Amino acid sequence: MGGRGALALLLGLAGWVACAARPLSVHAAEAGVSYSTWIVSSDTVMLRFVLPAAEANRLAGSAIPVLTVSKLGDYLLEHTAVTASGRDCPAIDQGYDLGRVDPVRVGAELYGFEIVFRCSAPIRSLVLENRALFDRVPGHVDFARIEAGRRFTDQLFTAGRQRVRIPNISDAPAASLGAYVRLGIGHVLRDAGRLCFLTVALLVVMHRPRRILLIIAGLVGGYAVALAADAGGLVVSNRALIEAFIGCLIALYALAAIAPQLARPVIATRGWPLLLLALAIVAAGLRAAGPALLLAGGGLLSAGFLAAIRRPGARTPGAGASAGILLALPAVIFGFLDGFTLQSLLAPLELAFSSRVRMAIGYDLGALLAEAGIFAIAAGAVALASGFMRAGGFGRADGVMRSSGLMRSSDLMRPGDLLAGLAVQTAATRRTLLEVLTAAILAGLGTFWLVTRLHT
Amino acid sequence: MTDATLVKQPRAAARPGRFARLRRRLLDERTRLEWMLPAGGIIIGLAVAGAGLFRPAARPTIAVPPGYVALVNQKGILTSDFIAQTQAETGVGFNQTTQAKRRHVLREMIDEELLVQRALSLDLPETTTEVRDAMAAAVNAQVAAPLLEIEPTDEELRTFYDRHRAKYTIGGTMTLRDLVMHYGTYADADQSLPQAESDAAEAVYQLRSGAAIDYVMEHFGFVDSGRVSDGEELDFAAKIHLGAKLYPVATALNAGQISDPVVTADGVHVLVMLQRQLPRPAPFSAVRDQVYSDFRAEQKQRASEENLRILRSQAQILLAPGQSE
Repeated sequence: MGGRGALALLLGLAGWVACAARPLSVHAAEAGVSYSTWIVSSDTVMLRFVLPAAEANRLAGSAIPVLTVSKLGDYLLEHTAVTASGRDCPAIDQGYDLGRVDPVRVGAELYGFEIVFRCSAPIRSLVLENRALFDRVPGHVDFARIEAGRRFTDQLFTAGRQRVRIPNISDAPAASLGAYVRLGIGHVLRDAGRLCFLTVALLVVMHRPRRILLIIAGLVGGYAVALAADAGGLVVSNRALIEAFIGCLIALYALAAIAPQLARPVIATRGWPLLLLALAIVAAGLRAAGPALLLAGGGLLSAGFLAAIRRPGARTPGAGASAGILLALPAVIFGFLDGFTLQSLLAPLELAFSSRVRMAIGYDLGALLAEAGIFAIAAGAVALASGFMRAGGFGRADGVMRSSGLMRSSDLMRPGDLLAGLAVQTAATRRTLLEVLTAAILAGLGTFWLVTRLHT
Repeated sequence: MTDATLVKQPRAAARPGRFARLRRRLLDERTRLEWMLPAGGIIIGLAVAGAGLFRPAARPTIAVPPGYVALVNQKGILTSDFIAQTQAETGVGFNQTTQAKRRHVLREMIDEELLVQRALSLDLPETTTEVRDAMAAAVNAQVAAPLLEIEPTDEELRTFYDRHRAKYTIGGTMTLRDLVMHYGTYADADQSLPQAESDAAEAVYQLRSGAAIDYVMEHFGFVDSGRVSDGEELDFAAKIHLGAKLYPVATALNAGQISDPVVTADGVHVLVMLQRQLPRPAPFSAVRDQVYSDFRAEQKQRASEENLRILRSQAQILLAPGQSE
């Protein structure tokens, strides 16, 4: 088995692991977020906790709002606490028949609760504790805001940081940039969709490893444009559709990898765009404007992209650079779309410009670091596999299983060395088969995500 | 036909057709098209997909729009409301109010808007009885408002009066004694209900036979219930005083008649009707105001019922097992 064939198998397995392993979420929305606002005044701390409905229903095990509210209220009371100057601040009864947790209305598809903690003396130093949901979803993140008078700071509660210490309430510290970087890294590493996209991107550039740099550059460009658009506050993204479109990009890259290996590449290059356009017509018939536009756009993009990378001029020696840039286009789009993840997560908080940009820079930087890290590991794996095969592979010193791509075939195809030539062909065939198989799996997976996420 | 005509003349070289020219031109442009078509597909595809993926962000309103006097968390306070509120608080025309008073009113209105927003955030309509009552009343008033805007004609009122003639009477009076025999209390511990009923029946017999009221009271242990006054009472007053159980019994009696024993919570009652003037139908002109008020009340009731009928038809109402409405 050739080095690149082994890498293809590795990538395929990584794709499957990404999708099958339980701790990974199928897409970013399932990682779970909540929002808390801690308003400090005199001797009280009012906590407003906001939870998306999907997360709340999952936690309460019920889609009936009345039951969900009741269970969540009790759960939050048990999992939040405030300590001031070393003394516990108990949650107080809020009068009427409310008890200690007051359900509040905070918007559609959101559950809100207010708890008032009263301390025995005016507050100077504080410890805010939020253990909610981390026991159920380890990747859960709570975006917190601490307000004291007119000052406010943004904080994060994560599984590894369930307590925030504030030595001086008049100068509450904000979460560091590193915290958002870690969040961005976790976002990529925990999300099956993102990992599958990276896997398929590696598959596309496997034969020319230097093009990984172009893919990374494309991602950087995409994130930068998204950051600029987010900072400008020009557009609001539809998160569900973005996740669906990432499925489309996975399939598109997979088809770009598969097409050259097929006897009739037209099936892939024309069939896929036509399928998307047909689905767009169906969606339009169902009066789903957003999905219809997405599918139609995806169809046109796919048709243009697949035609561009297959056109005769693209294979001429001088067109290598432009073809490489073209291959980075889905990465640019992916980076751009992924750059809106934090914006959609933070939407209920209605943050100030400076806070939003700071968080987005850290988050996107973390995502980029994770993606670059994955590419670096893959490149390292290729190098190792190549070296291993050059050294004789699995003890087959005759070289029959040497990687054909890393060694000139003319070296092996000496006159009379027919057996070695056949072996090289066999290895190449196996490698091609593995690549096609892996790409086909990822294309299917991308299509599945596209359709199911649009449906939901 | 001459030979010359039979000889096929060589045709001039055929000019390429429009489609052929277009085809040739496209072939000439092929290299450029190989770039342009995919690029066009990509650009248009991205634009179309972008239209589905993104929408323009709502821009927060940073200037108060015309017709509004203030924006509180993007919710507007109408200038017309502000003028009306200022006039209501000062009792003079808006132009005659001072700047200080206007500022004061505006501050109050902003405070009120903040409190209303907070109330909605706290979901008070769901949790607080007073808010729910006020909201229900407001909805009823709103659905009745179109009906109440139209003044009823005298003809309509008279039709209503005719339909409910029994309700509009005047002059009904009664003078009666309400005798009660208590039982089972501390003072009457030895008196059981059956015994009291038996004694009351005997007392009624004697009264109807012509025995004096004072004699019967003393003999059987009756006392005045104190529910009615000694003199003449209007029917509506007697209805209030006697209560729902005794009043119908009283209205059935003519002067000089004695009722059967009536058991209530405080004892066994016997009513003696001394004088009775039956109510007479009131003429429309005498009760027009009351008819108008009842007519309006019925309109409100009808509008509310119709509204509820529509709401119920559109609602999904689930009752727990064993419950009914």
